[in-house]
Amino acid sequence: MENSILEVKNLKVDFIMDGERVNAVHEVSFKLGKGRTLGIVGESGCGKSVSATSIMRLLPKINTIVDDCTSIKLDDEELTTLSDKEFQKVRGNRISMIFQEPMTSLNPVYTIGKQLIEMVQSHQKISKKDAFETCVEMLEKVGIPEARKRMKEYPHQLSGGMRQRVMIAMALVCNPEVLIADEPTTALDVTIQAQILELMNKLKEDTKTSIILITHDMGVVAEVTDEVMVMYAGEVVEHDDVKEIFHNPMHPYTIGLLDSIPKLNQNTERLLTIDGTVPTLKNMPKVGCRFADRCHYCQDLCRTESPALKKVGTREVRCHFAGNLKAKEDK
Amino acid sequence: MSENNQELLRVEYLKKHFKVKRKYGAGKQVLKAVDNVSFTLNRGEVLGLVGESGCGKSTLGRTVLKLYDITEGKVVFDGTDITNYNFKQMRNIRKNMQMIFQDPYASLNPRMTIGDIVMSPLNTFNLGEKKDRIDMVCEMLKKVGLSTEYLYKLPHEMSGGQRQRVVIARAMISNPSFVVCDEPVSALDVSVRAQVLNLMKDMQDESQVAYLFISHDLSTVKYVCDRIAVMYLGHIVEIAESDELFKNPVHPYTQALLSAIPIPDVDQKRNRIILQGDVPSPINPPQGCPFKTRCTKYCARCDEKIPALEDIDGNGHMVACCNLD
Repeated sequence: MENSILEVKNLKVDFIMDGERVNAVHEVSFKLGKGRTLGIVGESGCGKSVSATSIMRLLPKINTIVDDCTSIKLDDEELTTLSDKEFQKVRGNRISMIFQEPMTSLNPVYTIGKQLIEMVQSHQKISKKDAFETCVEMLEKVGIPEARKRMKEYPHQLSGGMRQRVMIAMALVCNPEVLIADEPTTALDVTIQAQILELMNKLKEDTKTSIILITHDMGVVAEVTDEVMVMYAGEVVEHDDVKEIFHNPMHPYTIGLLDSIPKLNQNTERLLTIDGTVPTLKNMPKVGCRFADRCHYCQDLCRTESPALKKVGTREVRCHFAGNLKAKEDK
Repeated sequence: MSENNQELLRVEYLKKHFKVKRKYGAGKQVLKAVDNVSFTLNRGEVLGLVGESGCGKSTLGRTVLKLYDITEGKVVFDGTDITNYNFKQMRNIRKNMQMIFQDPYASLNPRMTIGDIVMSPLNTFNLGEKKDRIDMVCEMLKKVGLSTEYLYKLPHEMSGGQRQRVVIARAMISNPSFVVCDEPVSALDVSVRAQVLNLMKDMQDESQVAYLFISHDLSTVKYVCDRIAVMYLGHIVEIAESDELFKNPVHPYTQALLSAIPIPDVDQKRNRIILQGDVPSPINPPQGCPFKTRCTKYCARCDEKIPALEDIDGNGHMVACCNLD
């Protein structure tokens, strides 16, 4: 991956909860190649959304501490040192974001058009008339019929799928280099989800935008992404090409995650499960592997020493025993 | 599947219409949430009910339990017609028909301890000796994989998966013969989801209870159900044995629905049928076939009447479509 557009190094985010400092994201590093789609998967509370929102600087400052050693580079330009005002020129313009809830992420008291035009005008010197035309064009591109009429409508007049299209239009109207999509289809029905995923694939080919897709749905990951990063309890546990991960998962969590989904194309007698639940931020194991309590392959070493992210070929995996798990299965 | 193919529940031409206020002006409109639905459920059978949001699957589940009044049609449970039963008469039957709700955060009383919650059906239906009830609760908790230390805990001390286990325990403790499960796992995380699904399957194997399993997730439904009914806009459009439905979907909507699910398999690239547009509003459903506005096989016949379910292979694979060749 020579041409990386976004490079995140050592992203570390802490929250202050009830006067206690808790770690939400720990040493997340990745590179996003130009025109590539990176999927971030994990269960709720694993830090995938926090990682994304902290790249966008959308977390509340009052109780969030982003570590100083964090480096986020967009096209070789360091973003963490920018002032808030300078960052506003980046947010929405060069990196933009689609949120999970299309129902709540649009402002209900303004028309679609007003919200879209505001977006364009805050980043480009452009007359209102021209901005209007740009927006209509964009709405047509995301497959909204009668776009001109829709510009004058309010969010409540649109269905969920349509609203998500408007969100995508809003995110793409400034031609961003990076698009962060945080569970863009989770709130939608399957047939609508299929429409939106197809749309995102098509737009990616047209605009060559790089996408970070955050989801918990392994099916969506398999269909849309080029590479996958699996997160657990604030850490990256595995990162590789999507095909590699699905064919040969190495981290016990990834293995468990893939086994625990019912498959449509084969008959499953019984689902394999991962015991227990994700530790909450406050109960995070302080020493050792964060997955140890739920791991089938857990050994003494896992309790005492935190595994580092190891490189095995193109794979990055955070497990002491990655690659030779099989031998311990009978334990 | 159970060998005992005795009929437990029969629903005939069930309708549930809601009167809704017009946005502007006076008068009321009718929302046809469930329209002319018929199906049967055998003892110990798991029937899946799938469809998109707003298609009436939850309403159907609740109407069958008579949590909503029936507008028209007939519900026969265990040989007795309960369509016109009043609240008091229903109560005697309710211990045999229970419900598992979707959101385990909303369906447990935050002020009651887990023990009290699970015991409440025993008290309500007067089951067992008073002094034995606590033992029955403990046993039930063990069955759903919770230790007895949870007896005196409150719901907020538990995670989503654990709460859903409590909801299951509460539904199962009166030893019902029929349970409506309304999206029991969709609020849970993937790894916890598998645990709860396995638990529900175990309970079913053990007590031979019949489930009406409502879900929008076809892969989950395939995992637990013997038969599957597909709903669209208040109508059942296809109903078949689980394997048969996945191998040989006949209704255009079922075909599209099956092809729309993202499969967690990187090698398989499928031809996807992308449906255009959204589900029409059930207040103004299209004339004729409800699916015609999005159907790929639309023709003039679809305008004429709502197609009825027809058995196409003599084996209980029923489809409601006028374009069957």
